[in-house]
Amino acid sequence: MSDPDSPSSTRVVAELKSDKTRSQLFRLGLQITGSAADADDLVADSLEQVIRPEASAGLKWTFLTQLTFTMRKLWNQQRRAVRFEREFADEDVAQGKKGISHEPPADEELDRRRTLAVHRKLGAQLIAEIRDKHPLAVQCYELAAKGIEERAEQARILGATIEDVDKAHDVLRYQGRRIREEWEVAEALRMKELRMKARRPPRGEL
Amino acid sequence: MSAPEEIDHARGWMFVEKLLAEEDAGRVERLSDKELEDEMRAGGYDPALVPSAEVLLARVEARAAERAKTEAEAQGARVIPMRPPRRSHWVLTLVAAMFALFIVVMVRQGPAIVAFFKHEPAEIGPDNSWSPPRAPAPPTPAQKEAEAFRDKAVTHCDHMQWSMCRLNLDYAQALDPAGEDSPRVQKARAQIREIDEAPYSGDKPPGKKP
Repeated sequence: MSDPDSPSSTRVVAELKSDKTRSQLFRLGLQITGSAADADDLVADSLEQVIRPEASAGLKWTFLTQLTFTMRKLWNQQRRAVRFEREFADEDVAQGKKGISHEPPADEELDRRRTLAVHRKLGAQLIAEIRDKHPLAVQCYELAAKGIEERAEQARILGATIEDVDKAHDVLRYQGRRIREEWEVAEALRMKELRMKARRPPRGEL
Repeated sequence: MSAPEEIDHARGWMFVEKLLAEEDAGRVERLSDKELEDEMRAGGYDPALVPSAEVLLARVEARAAERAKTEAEAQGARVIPMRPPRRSHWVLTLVAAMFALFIVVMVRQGPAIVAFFKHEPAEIGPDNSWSPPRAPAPPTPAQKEAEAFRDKAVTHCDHMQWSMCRLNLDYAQALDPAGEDSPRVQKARAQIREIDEAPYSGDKPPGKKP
Protein backbone atom coordinates (compact mmCIF):
# COMPACT_ATOMS: atom_id res chain seq x y z
CA MET A 1 0.00 0.00 0.00
CA SER A 2 1.42 3.40 -0.93
CA ASP A 3 0.67 5.23 2.31
CA PRO A 4 -1.34 3.35 4.94
CA ASP A 5 -1.91 6.57 6.92
CA SER A 6 -3.36 8.64 4.09
CA PRO A 7 -7.06 9.59 4.45
CA SER A 8 -7.97 7.57 1.34
CA SER A 9 -6.22 4.47 2.66
CA THR A 10 -7.71 4.77 6.15
CA ARG A 11 -11.18 5.12 4.66
CA VAL A 12 -10.85 2.06 2.42
CA VAL A 13 -9.63 -0.11 5.30
CA ALA A 14 -12.46 1.06 7.57
CA GLU A 15 -15.18 0.61 4.94
CA LEU A 16 -14.04 -2.88 3.94
CA LYS A 17 -14.55 -4.13 7.48
CA SER A 18 -18.30 -4.11 6.87
CA ASP A 19 -19.58 -7.37 5.32
CA LYS A 20 -22.50 -5.52 3.74
CA THR A 21 -20.30 -2.89 2.12
CA ARG A 22 -18.14 -5.59 0.54
CA SER A 23 -21.23 -7.38 -0.79
CA GLN A 24 -22.57 -4.08 -2.15
CA LEU A 25 -19.27 -3.45 -3.91
CA PHE A 26 -19.40 -6.84 -5.62
CA ARG A 27 -23.05 -6.29 -6.55
CA LEU A 28 -22.09 -3.02 -8.25
CA GLY A 29 -19.10 -4.67 -9.93
CA LEU A 30 -21.43 -7.36 -11.19
CA GLN A 31 -23.85 -4.75 -12.52
CA ILE A 32 -21.06 -3.05 -14.49
CA THR A 33 -19.24 -6.10 -15.84
CA GLY A 34 -21.99 -8.73 -16.04
CA SER A 35 -19.61 -11.46 -14.90
CA ALA A 36 -18.54 -12.69 -11.46
CA ALA A 37 -14.87 -13.12 -12.42
CA ASP A 38 -14.68 -9.67 -14.00
CA ALA A 39 -16.43 -8.17 -10.97
CA ASP A 40 -13.76 -9.71 -8.71
CA ASP A 41 -10.97 -8.13 -10.73
CA LEU A 42 -12.70 -4.81 -11.18
CA VAL A 43 -13.39 -4.36 -7.47
CA ALA A 44 -9.74 -5.03 -6.57
CA ASP A 45 -8.45 -2.78 -9.37
CA SER A 46 -10.77 0.04 -8.32
CA LEU A 47 -9.83 -0.27 -4.66
CA GLU A 48 -6.19 -0.02 -5.70
CA GLN A 49 -7.01 3.26 -7.44
CA VAL A 50 -9.02 4.87 -4.66
CA ILE A 51 -6.53 3.89 -1.97
CA ARG A 52 -3.86 6.10 -3.55
CA PRO A 53 -3.31 9.42 -1.79
CA GLU A 54 -4.07 11.33 -5.00
CA ALA A 55 -7.64 9.93 -4.92
CA SER A 56 -8.46 12.06 -1.89
CA ALA A 57 -10.71 14.27 -4.05
CA GLY A 58 -13.32 11.48 -3.99
CA LEU A 59 -13.47 11.52 -0.21
CA LYS A 60 -16.32 14.03 -0.26
CA TRP A 61 -18.53 11.44 -1.98
CA THR A 62 -19.93 8.37 -0.27
CA PHE A 63 -17.62 5.36 -0.45
CA LEU A 64 -19.98 3.43 -2.72
CA THR A 65 -20.45 6.42 -5.06
CA GLN A 66 -16.69 6.88 -5.35
CA LEU A 67 -16.19 3.18 -6.05
CA THR A 68 -19.05 3.00 -8.56
CA PHE A 69 -17.67 6.02 -10.41
CA THR A 70 -14.15 4.56 -10.39
CA MET A 71 -15.30 1.08 -11.42
CA ARG A 72 -17.21 2.38 -14.43
CA LYS A 73 -14.33 4.57 -15.52
CA LEU A 74 -11.84 1.75 -15.11
CA TRP A 75 -14.07 -0.78 -16.85
CA ASN A 76 -14.36 1.52 -19.88
CA GLN A 77 -10.60 2.02 -19.90
CA GLN A 78 -9.92 -1.70 -19.65
CA ARG A 79 -12.33 -2.51 -22.45
CA ARG A 80 -10.67 0.09 -24.66
CA ALA A 81 -7.26 -1.37 -23.81
CA VAL A 82 -8.40 -4.86 -24.79
CA ARG A 83 -9.73 -3.55 -28.10
CA PHE A 84 -6.49 -1.67 -28.70
CA GLU A 85 -4.47 -4.83 -28.11
CA ARG A 86 -6.74 -6.91 -30.33
CA GLU A 87 -6.70 -4.41 -33.16
CA PHE A 88 -2.91 -4.46 -33.26
CA ALA A 89 -2.52 -8.20 -32.70
CA ASP A 90 -4.93 -8.91 -35.57
CA GLU A 91 -2.91 -6.76 -37.89
CA ASP A 92 0.40 -8.35 -36.88
CA VAL A 93 1.78 -4.92 -36.19
CA ALA A 94 2.64 -5.44 -32.57
CA GLN A 95 5.69 -7.35 -31.49
CA GLY A 96 3.80 -9.41 -28.93
CA LYS A 97 1.88 -8.51 -25.85
CA LYS A 98 4.96 -7.37 -23.99
CA GLY A 99 5.72 -4.77 -26.59
CA ILE A 100 2.33 -3.16 -26.13
CA SER A 101 2.12 -3.30 -22.37
CA HIS A 102 5.45 -1.54 -21.94
CA GLU A 103 4.12 1.65 -23.48
CA PRO A 104 1.86 2.99 -20.73
CA PRO A 105 2.39 6.68 -21.38
CA ALA A 106 1.28 6.55 -25.03
CA ASP A 107 -1.57 4.20 -24.20
CA GLU A 108 -2.76 6.34 -21.32
CA GLU A 109 -2.53 9.52 -23.33
CA LEU A 110 -4.49 7.92 -26.15
CA ASP A 111 -7.12 6.72 -23.73
CA ARG A 112 -7.35 10.13 -22.08
CA ARG A 113 -7.91 11.84 -25.42
CA ARG A 114 -10.51 9.31 -26.50
CA THR A 115 -12.32 9.58 -23.19
CA LEU A 116 -12.35 13.37 -23.36
CA ALA A 117 -13.67 13.29 -26.92
CA VAL A 118 -16.46 10.89 -25.94
CA HIS A 119 -17.40 12.96 -22.87
CA ARG A 120 -17.54 16.16 -24.91
CA LYS A 121 -19.72 14.49 -27.48
CA LEU A 122 -22.14 12.99 -24.96
CA GLY A 123 -22.34 16.19 -22.92
CA ALA A 124 -23.05 18.31 -25.99
CA GLN A 125 -25.72 15.84 -27.13
CA LEU A 126 -27.38 15.87 -23.71
CA ILE A 127 -27.57 19.65 -23.57
CA ALA A 128 -28.78 19.95 -27.15
CA GLU A 129 -31.61 17.53 -26.39
CA ILE A 130 -32.84 19.07 -23.13
CA ARG A 131 -32.09 22.77 -23.65
CA ASP A 132 -35.64 23.76 -24.60
CA LYS A 133 -37.56 21.54 -22.20
CA HIS A 134 -35.43 21.70 -19.06
CA PRO A 135 -33.67 25.07 -18.71
CA LEU A 136 -32.90 24.59 -15.00
CA ALA A 137 -31.21 21.24 -15.67
CA VAL A 138 -29.10 22.93 -18.34
CA GLN A 139 -28.14 25.67 -15.88
CA CYS A 140 -27.14 23.09 -13.26
CA TYR A 141 -25.05 21.28 -15.86
CA GLU A 142 -23.37 24.52 -16.88
CA LEU A 143 -22.50 25.31 -13.27
CA ALA A 144 -21.11 21.80 -12.81
CA ALA A 145 -19.03 22.31 -15.95
CA LYS A 146 -17.50 25.30 -14.17
CA GLY A 147 -16.72 23.26 -11.08
CA ILE A 148 -19.76 24.16 -8.97
CA GLU A 149 -21.30 20.77 -8.21
CA GLU A 150 -22.87 21.03 -4.76
CA ARG A 151 -26.65 21.14 -4.95
CA ALA A 152 -26.97 23.78 -2.23
CA GLU A 153 -24.43 25.99 -3.98
CA GLN A 154 -26.22 25.55 -7.32
CA ALA A 155 -29.57 26.38 -5.71
CA ARG A 156 -28.13 29.55 -4.18
CA ILE A 157 -26.57 30.76 -7.39
CA LEU A 158 -29.61 29.97 -9.52
CA GLY A 159 -32.07 31.36 -6.99
CA ALA A 160 -33.94 28.05 -6.92
CA THR A 161 -34.95 25.74 -4.10
CA ILE A 162 -32.91 22.63 -3.37
CA GLU A 163 -35.95 20.55 -4.36
CA ASP A 164 -35.96 22.21 -7.80
CA VAL A 165 -32.25 21.51 -8.18
CA ASP A 166 -32.81 17.89 -7.18
CA LYS A 167 -35.49 17.59 -9.85
CA ALA A 168 -33.11 19.12 -12.38
CA HIS A 169 -30.48 16.55 -11.37
CA ASP A 170 -33.08 13.81 -11.86
CA VAL A 171 -33.55 15.04 -15.43
CA LEU A 172 -29.78 14.95 -15.98
CA ARG A 173 -29.63 11.43 -14.54
CA TYR A 174 -32.50 10.10 -16.61
CA GLN A 175 -31.46 11.67 -19.90
CA GLY A 176 -27.76 11.05 -19.21
CA ARG A 177 -28.32 7.35 -18.59
CA ARG A 178 -30.37 7.06 -21.78
CA ILE A 179 -27.69 8.80 -23.85
CA ARG A 180 -24.91 6.71 -22.29
CA GLU A 181 -26.76 3.47 -22.97
CA GLU A 182 -27.43 4.47 -26.57
CA TRP A 183 -23.77 5.32 -27.03
CA GLU A 184 -22.67 2.00 -25.48
CA VAL A 185 -24.85 0.02 -27.84
CA ALA A 186 -23.63 1.99 -30.87
CA GLU A 187 -20.01 1.63 -29.74
CA ALA A 188 -20.36 -2.14 -29.23
CA LEU A 189 -21.75 -2.49 -32.75
CA ARG A 190 -19.00 -0.33 -34.23
CA MET A 191 -16.28 -2.37 -32.49
CA LYS A 192 -17.90 -5.61 -33.58
CA GLU A 193 -17.83 -4.45 -37.19
CA LEU A 194 -14.20 -3.41 -36.88
CA ARG A 195 -13.23 -6.82 -35.50
CA MET A 196 -15.12 -8.57 -38.27
CA LYS A 197 -13.29 -6.49 -40.87
CA ALA A 198 -9.93 -7.27 -39.27
CA ARG A 199 -10.59 -11.03 -39.24
CA ARG A 200 -12.04 -11.37 -42.72
CA PRO A 201 -9.83 -10.02 -45.51
CA PRO A 202 -11.65 -8.85 -48.63
CA ARG A 203 -12.11 -11.39 -51.38
CA GLY A 204 -9.40 -11.63 -54.01
CA GLU A 205 -6.57 -10.75 -51.62
CA LEU A 206 -5.78 -14.34 -50.65
CA MET B 1 -25.57 31.70 -18.39
CA SER B 2 -22.72 31.26 -20.79
CA ALA B 3 -23.12 30.59 -24.46
CA PRO B 4 -23.32 26.89 -25.40
CA GLU B 5 -19.95 26.90 -27.16
CA GLU B 6 -18.19 27.96 -23.96
CA ILE B 7 -19.38 24.99 -21.89
CA ASP B 8 -16.71 22.52 -20.84
CA HIS B 9 -18.70 19.44 -21.82
CA ALA B 10 -15.98 17.04 -20.72
CA ARG B 11 -16.34 18.28 -17.15
CA GLY B 12 -20.11 18.62 -17.46
CA TRP B 13 -20.43 15.00 -18.54
CA MET B 14 -18.26 13.88 -15.62
CA PHE B 15 -20.84 15.50 -13.37
CA VAL B 16 -23.56 13.47 -15.07
CA GLU B 17 -21.45 10.32 -14.57
CA LYS B 18 -21.13 11.22 -10.89
CA LEU B 19 -24.91 11.64 -10.60
CA LEU B 20 -25.38 8.22 -12.21
CA ALA B 21 -22.82 6.63 -9.88
CA GLU B 22 -24.64 8.21 -6.92
CA GLU B 23 -27.93 6.78 -8.12
CA ASP B 24 -26.55 3.27 -8.66
CA ALA B 25 -24.77 3.27 -5.32
CA GLY B 26 -27.86 4.64 -3.56
CA ARG B 27 -30.07 1.93 -5.01
CA VAL B 28 -27.73 -0.83 -3.85
CA GLU B 29 -27.38 0.81 -0.43
CA ARG B 30 -31.15 0.73 0.03
CA LEU B 31 -31.40 -3.02 -0.66
CA SER B 32 -32.10 -5.26 2.32
CA ASP B 33 -29.63 -8.07 3.03
CA LYS B 34 -31.92 -10.59 1.40
CA GLU B 35 -32.55 -8.47 -1.69
CA LEU B 36 -28.82 -7.92 -2.04
CA GLU B 37 -28.08 -11.65 -1.83
CA ASP B 38 -30.87 -12.44 -4.30
CA GLU B 39 -29.54 -9.94 -6.82
CA MET B 40 -26.04 -11.34 -6.48
CA ARG B 41 -27.23 -14.89 -7.02
CA ALA B 42 -29.27 -13.77 -10.04
CA GLY B 43 -26.08 -12.27 -11.47
CA GLY B 44 -24.18 -15.52 -10.97
CA TYR B 45 -22.25 -14.50 -7.83
CA ASP B 46 -22.52 -16.65 -4.73
CA PRO B 47 -22.73 -14.17 -1.80
CA ALA B 48 -20.82 -16.65 0.38
CA LEU B 49 -17.80 -16.17 -1.89
CA VAL B 50 -17.41 -12.44 -1.21
CA PRO B 51 -13.81 -12.20 0.03
CA SER B 52 -12.90 -10.99 3.50
CA ALA B 53 -11.41 -7.52 4.04
CA GLU B 54 -7.95 -9.08 4.56
CA VAL B 55 -8.11 -10.99 1.28
CA LEU B 56 -9.29 -7.90 -0.58
CA LEU B 57 -6.56 -5.73 0.88
CA ALA B 58 -3.97 -8.35 -0.01
CA ARG B 59 -5.22 -8.26 -3.62
CA VAL B 60 -5.01 -4.47 -3.61
CA GLU B 61 -1.46 -4.61 -2.30
CA ALA B 62 -0.47 -7.15 -4.95
CA ARG B 63 -1.87 -4.90 -7.66
CA ALA B 64 -0.06 -1.86 -6.28
CA ALA B 65 3.21 -3.82 -6.27
CA GLU B 66 2.59 -5.00 -9.83
CA ARG B 67 1.89 -1.47 -11.00
CA ALA B 68 5.03 -0.14 -9.31
CA LYS B 69 7.06 -2.88 -10.99
CA THR B 70 5.58 -2.15 -14.42
CA GLU B 71 6.29 1.56 -14.03
CA ALA B 72 9.87 0.85 -12.95
CA GLU B 73 10.37 -1.49 -15.92
CA ALA B 74 8.91 1.06 -18.31
CA GLN B 75 11.38 3.65 -17.01
CA GLY B 76 14.28 1.22 -17.18
CA ALA B 77 13.36 0.16 -20.69
CA ARG B 78 13.98 3.59 -22.17
CA VAL B 79 16.35 3.54 -25.11
CA ILE B 80 19.67 5.19 -24.31
CA PRO B 81 21.92 5.93 -27.30
CA MET B 82 25.25 4.10 -27.08
CA ARG B 83 28.38 6.22 -27.14
CA PRO B 84 31.95 5.11 -27.69
CA PRO B 85 33.99 5.22 -24.46
CA ARG B 86 35.42 8.68 -23.98
CA ARG B 87 39.15 9.20 -23.90
CA SER B 88 40.12 11.21 -20.88
CA HIS B 89 41.13 14.72 -21.78
CA TRP B 90 41.65 15.37 -18.13
CA VAL B 91 44.59 17.77 -18.52
CA LEU B 92 42.59 19.98 -20.83
CA THR B 93 39.62 19.78 -18.49
CA LEU B 94 41.77 20.70 -15.50
CA VAL B 95 43.23 23.75 -17.26
CA ALA B 96 39.80 24.88 -18.35
CA ALA B 97 38.47 24.44 -14.80
CA MET B 98 41.33 26.46 -13.31
CA PHE B 99 40.83 29.22 -15.86
CA ALA B 100 37.14 29.32 -15.06
CA LEU B 101 37.91 29.48 -11.35
CA PHE B 102 40.37 32.36 -11.95
CA ILE B 103 37.70 34.30 -13.84
CA VAL B 104 35.15 33.72 -11.09
CA VAL B 105 37.59 34.83 -8.36
CA MET B 106 38.53 37.93 -10.35
CA VAL B 107 34.96 38.90 -10.85
CA ARG B 108 33.94 38.30 -7.24
CA GLN B 109 37.04 39.46 -5.40
CA GLY B 110 38.45 41.97 -7.93
CA PRO B 111 38.54 45.08 -5.70
CA ALA B 112 40.23 43.20 -2.84
CA ILE B 113 42.95 41.84 -5.13
CA VAL B 114 43.61 45.26 -6.65
CA ALA B 115 43.83 46.76 -3.17
CA PHE B 116 46.29 44.05 -2.09
CA PHE B 117 48.71 44.76 -4.97
CA LYS B 118 48.44 48.53 -4.57
CA HIS B 119 49.03 48.22 -0.81
CA GLU B 120 45.92 50.29 -0.21
CA PRO B 121 43.31 49.42 2.39
CA ALA B 122 40.29 48.02 0.70
CA GLU B 123 37.08 49.90 1.14
CA ILE B 124 35.03 48.21 3.79
CA GLY B 125 31.84 46.88 2.33
CA PRO B 126 29.36 44.15 3.08
CA ASP B 127 30.70 40.60 3.18
CA ASN B 128 30.56 38.74 -0.04
CA SER B 129 28.22 35.86 0.33
CA TRP B 130 30.22 33.85 -2.14
CA SER B 131 29.27 30.32 -2.80
CA PRO B 132 29.56 28.23 -5.92
CA PRO B 133 26.38 28.47 -7.98
CA ARG B 134 24.30 25.39 -7.47
CA ALA B 135 22.03 24.05 -10.14
CA PRO B 136 18.60 23.42 -8.67
CA ALA B 137 17.67 19.76 -8.43
CA PRO B 138 15.48 18.76 -11.36
CA PRO B 139 11.83 18.36 -10.36
CA THR B 140 10.54 14.84 -9.90
CA PRO B 141 7.60 13.65 -12.03
CA ALA B 142 5.32 14.09 -9.00
CA GLN B 143 6.51 17.67 -8.53
CA LYS B 144 5.95 18.42 -12.22
CA GLU B 145 2.45 17.01 -12.01
CA ALA B 146 1.80 18.97 -8.83
CA GLU B 147 2.96 22.17 -10.54
CA ALA B 148 0.52 21.50 -13.38
CA PHE B 149 -2.29 21.11 -10.85
CA ARG B 150 -1.19 24.36 -9.17
CA ASP B 151 -1.24 26.17 -12.51
CA LYS B 152 -4.80 24.98 -13.00
CA ALA B 153 -5.72 25.91 -9.43
CA VAL B 154 -4.43 29.46 -9.86
CA THR B 155 -6.39 29.81 -13.10
CA HIS B 156 -9.54 28.56 -11.37
CA CYS B 157 -8.98 30.96 -8.50
CA ASP B 158 -8.54 33.79 -10.97
CA HIS B 159 -11.90 32.83 -12.43
CA MET B 160 -13.41 32.57 -8.96
CA GLN B 161 -14.06 28.84 -9.37
CA TRP B 162 -13.25 28.14 -5.76
CA SER B 163 -14.21 24.46 -5.60
CA MET B 164 -11.98 23.60 -8.55
CA CYS B 165 -9.22 25.80 -7.21
CA ARG B 166 -9.31 24.00 -3.87
CA LEU B 167 -9.56 20.58 -5.53
CA ASN B 168 -6.49 21.17 -7.70
CA LEU B 169 -4.54 22.56 -4.74
CA ASP B 170 -5.42 19.46 -2.70
CA TYR B 171 -4.32 17.19 -5.52
CA ALA B 172 -1.06 19.09 -5.80
CA GLN B 173 -0.53 18.95 -2.05
CA ALA B 174 -0.98 15.19 -2.05
CA LEU B 175 1.67 14.87 -4.76
CA ASP B 176 4.13 17.45 -3.48
CA PRO B 177 3.51 18.68 0.08
CA ALA B 178 6.63 20.90 0.04
CA GLY B 179 5.21 23.03 -2.79
CA GLU B 180 2.43 24.14 -0.47
CA ASP B 181 4.74 26.88 0.85
CA SER B 182 5.06 28.67 -2.49
CA PRO B 183 3.66 32.22 -2.48
CA ARG B 184 1.09 31.59 -5.18
CA VAL B 185 -0.32 28.58 -3.30
CA GLN B 186 -0.41 30.58 -0.07
CA LYS B 187 -2.22 33.37 -1.90
CA ALA B 188 -4.77 30.98 -3.43
CA ARG B 189 -5.35 29.28 -0.06
CA ALA B 190 -5.86 32.65 1.56
CA GLN B 191 -8.41 33.60 -1.12
CA ILE B 192 -10.32 30.36 -0.54
CA ARG B 193 -10.25 30.88 3.23
CA GLU B 194 -11.58 34.38 2.74
CA ILE B 195 -14.43 33.12 0.56
CA ASP B 196 -15.23 30.31 3.00
CA GLU B 197 -15.44 32.72 5.87
CA ALA B 198 -17.35 35.46 4.07
CA PRO B 199 -21.11 35.33 4.69
CA TYR B 200 -23.10 34.65 1.55
CA SER B 201 -24.88 37.76 0.34
CA GLY B 202 -28.21 37.05 -1.28
CA ASP B 203 -28.18 37.44 -5.02
CA LYS B 204 -24.43 37.54 -5.56
CA PRO B 205 -22.50 34.37 -6.34
CA PRO B 206 -19.59 33.61 -3.98
CA GLY B 207 -16.46 35.54 -4.81
CA LYS B 208 -18.22 38.48 -6.41
CA LYS B 209 -17.23 41.31 -4.17
CA PRO B 210 -19.34 44.46 -4.19
